[in-house]
Amino acid sequence: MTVDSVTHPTAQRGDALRPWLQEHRAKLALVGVILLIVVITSTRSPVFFTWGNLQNILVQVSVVGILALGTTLLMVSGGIDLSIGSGVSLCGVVMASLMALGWSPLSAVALAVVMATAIGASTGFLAAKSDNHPFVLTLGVLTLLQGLAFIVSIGPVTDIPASFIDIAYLKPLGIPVLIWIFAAVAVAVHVILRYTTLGRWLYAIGASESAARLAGIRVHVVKVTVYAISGLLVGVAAVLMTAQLSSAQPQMGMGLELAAIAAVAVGGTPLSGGRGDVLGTLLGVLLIGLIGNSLNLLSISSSWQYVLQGGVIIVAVLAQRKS
Amino acid sequence: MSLSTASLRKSYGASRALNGVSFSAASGRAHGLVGANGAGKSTLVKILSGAIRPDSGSLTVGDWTGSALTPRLAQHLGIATIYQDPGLAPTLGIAENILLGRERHRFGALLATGSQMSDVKDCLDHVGLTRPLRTPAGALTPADQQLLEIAKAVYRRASTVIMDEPTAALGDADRQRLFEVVRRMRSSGVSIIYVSHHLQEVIDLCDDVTVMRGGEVVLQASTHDTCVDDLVTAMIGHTIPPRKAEAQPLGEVALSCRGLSQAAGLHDVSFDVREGEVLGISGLVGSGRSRLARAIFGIEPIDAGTMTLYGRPYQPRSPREAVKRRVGLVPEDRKRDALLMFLSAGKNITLPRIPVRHLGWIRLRSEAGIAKKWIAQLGIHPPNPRTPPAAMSGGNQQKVVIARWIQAGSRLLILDEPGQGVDVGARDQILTAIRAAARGGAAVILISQEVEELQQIADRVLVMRKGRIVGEITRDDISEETVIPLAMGSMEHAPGKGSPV
Repeated sequence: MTVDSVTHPTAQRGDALRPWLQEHRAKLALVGVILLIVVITSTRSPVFFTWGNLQNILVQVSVVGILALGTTLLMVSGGIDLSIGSGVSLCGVVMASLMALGWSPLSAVALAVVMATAIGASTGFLAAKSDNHPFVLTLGVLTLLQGLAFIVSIGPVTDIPASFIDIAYLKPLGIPVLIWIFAAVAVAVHVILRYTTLGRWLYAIGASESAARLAGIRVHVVKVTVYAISGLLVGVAAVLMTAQLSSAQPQMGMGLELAAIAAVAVGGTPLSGGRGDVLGTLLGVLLIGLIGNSLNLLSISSSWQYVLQGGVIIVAVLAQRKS
Repeated sequence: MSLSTASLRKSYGASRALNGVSFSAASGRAHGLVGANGAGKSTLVKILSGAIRPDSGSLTVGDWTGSALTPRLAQHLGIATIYQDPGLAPTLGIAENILLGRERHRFGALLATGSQMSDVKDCLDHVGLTRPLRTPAGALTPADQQLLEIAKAVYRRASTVIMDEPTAALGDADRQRLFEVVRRMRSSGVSIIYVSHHLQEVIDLCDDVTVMRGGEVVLQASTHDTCVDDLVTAMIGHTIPPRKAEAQPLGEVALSCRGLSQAAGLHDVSFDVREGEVLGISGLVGSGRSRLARAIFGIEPIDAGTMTLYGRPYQPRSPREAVKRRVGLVPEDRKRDALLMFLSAGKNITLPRIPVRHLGWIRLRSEAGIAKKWIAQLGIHPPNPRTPPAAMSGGNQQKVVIARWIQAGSRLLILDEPGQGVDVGARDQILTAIRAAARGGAAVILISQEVEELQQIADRVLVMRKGRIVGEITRDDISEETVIPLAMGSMEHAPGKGSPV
């Protein structure tokens, strides 16, 4: 006992609130910024604080949001996939072209999702084999998939059956289907991270790959799995985006990977891995969506929107300190 | 140059790290600084190196007196600090590391370091580092990295050198080399502040010693009138009686190795370890002890030989297969190879065997119960399953790793230097936990360079040298006199090179 009390003058009982604030400081700050935007915009625009506009925002961010949720899984494990944007483009044009050739929407969608999952799994396999950080590797995959998308179709594919486009406009229980799917993916990813061994292994690998391996975790298998899950979500995003746009074109996904990574990083998941959660990512996605929406409503030019979004990302990342 | 502090205080939030520390180190003397983890040594070192500001108190270095140092000012005053993990640029060469930030330039931008090379060579000669100047620092052994750090300090004409646990990663021969250098620096007028957990080392090497406890100086004395027991008593407030565990009845053979060989450095290693037995393995760094552990745990494949585990053939090709056969490894580098520093202690403990319902669905409640149980059992402090190892002392981190493998139901537990970087009190608790694991029926392989540790809990010690087992010593004969000569090889054991710890 004596030894313990000497060893740890720092440990004190009581005051449970402070560690909680400490732990959630970044998220509270994010919530604060979001509320600030909501208050400012509400006073300037009567449309902003309405149920309809909230739906708008959520629909607008759902594709990036779904990709960001997959990216959360990757980044928690210390991984990253820059190819998800061009993956969306490739799967979008392949699916649209197949439907233009007369495939049924169901089989085209199924093929696109399977293809995206397979691409993700292959990327994961390469990332697991490589000793280097997956940044450059997936940059290569990005370029390769972009090229394939151009090979499939150099321009937009618009010859898509109406029965497919209608998916995007379904409103079960009065809420757009995109929001439902986004929410379902968020719940699923949250469950994976918090309640399953897979999630635990992702944190472990992100915290220390070597320690995870020596604890008996099949690091390679876990990596392939998580890239495949992210790939699956790329497929889902491609389907939703194509339906939303009523067309697919080979550059439709360009930049989505950066928006997704930005949202995840703003939400508090570090690139180095081992930490992060779904709530943070959702707040990050919401913040970025809100900025665009409120600037639109305040009729500020889109050029300034970029400047402000960039500024918010920079500030959010600087505000995060190591615990 | 002499250095002293007067009533330094430093608090972090509500906890007081330093509570009025007055400390002095005279020039040309080696000054030992010891204390349990959390006693305030690191805080004091950080204040002396300018890394943090004290809340109150004053510092005097030579003619300079002030309330706080900055890293720049400390350097200017000739204070150099060498941390346990050397702060070298691993991809830069030896010379480049020494010159870093001191490079001479031509035309304001072009490197003109050629003229500095003779000084660099002098410094390297001074510390006895003989590798080619272009060798990247990352390719040096830990011992050579320490020497390079010292050479750097010499190049900068440091008059006070603070060394924080310099020997933690070094074997006996390398320690002797380092001691030589320290003695040489001291005789050239440099004052040395030597922070270490190795008390005997401090007594042998230093002129004076300061013991800290709970943020205060509790003993300041000359090492001539002090023995290890005095220091231990001062550090923890009471004495730990050296104790020898009583012999246990041994069970069946757990692991049996026959003729294990590996081209990189294992030759015909054969031994058995039984249930309930603590088998010690001793040897110098590079003797193959850690290599043997890695081979048994499936990290490195073996080229020849066979193993059986509880009567069945055992040939692990990955740690996963070893874990499945209920083998556990507490690795030498716990921060890199075992701990998830920012995840909770509970998650660290359950990692190899997470309680699940089905489909990998974690039973969070029973997981929390398991974590609490082991934290209580091993006396992990703070006793909160949510505390991450990053906020724990080295000893408690080590207990988390040990708890992990006991929790996983390991029937063979391999520990590689579990006492490294851990203070005396915590080490004692760790040894008790290891003994308890053996009593619970596990077979234990304890790799240690600390003969004292082996003496306390090993039933038998195998001594390795150059990849071979060169001797076996049974419980009552385990002592420095029997182990060290075998480990060094009688040829290499030159007398008079200082008594091995």
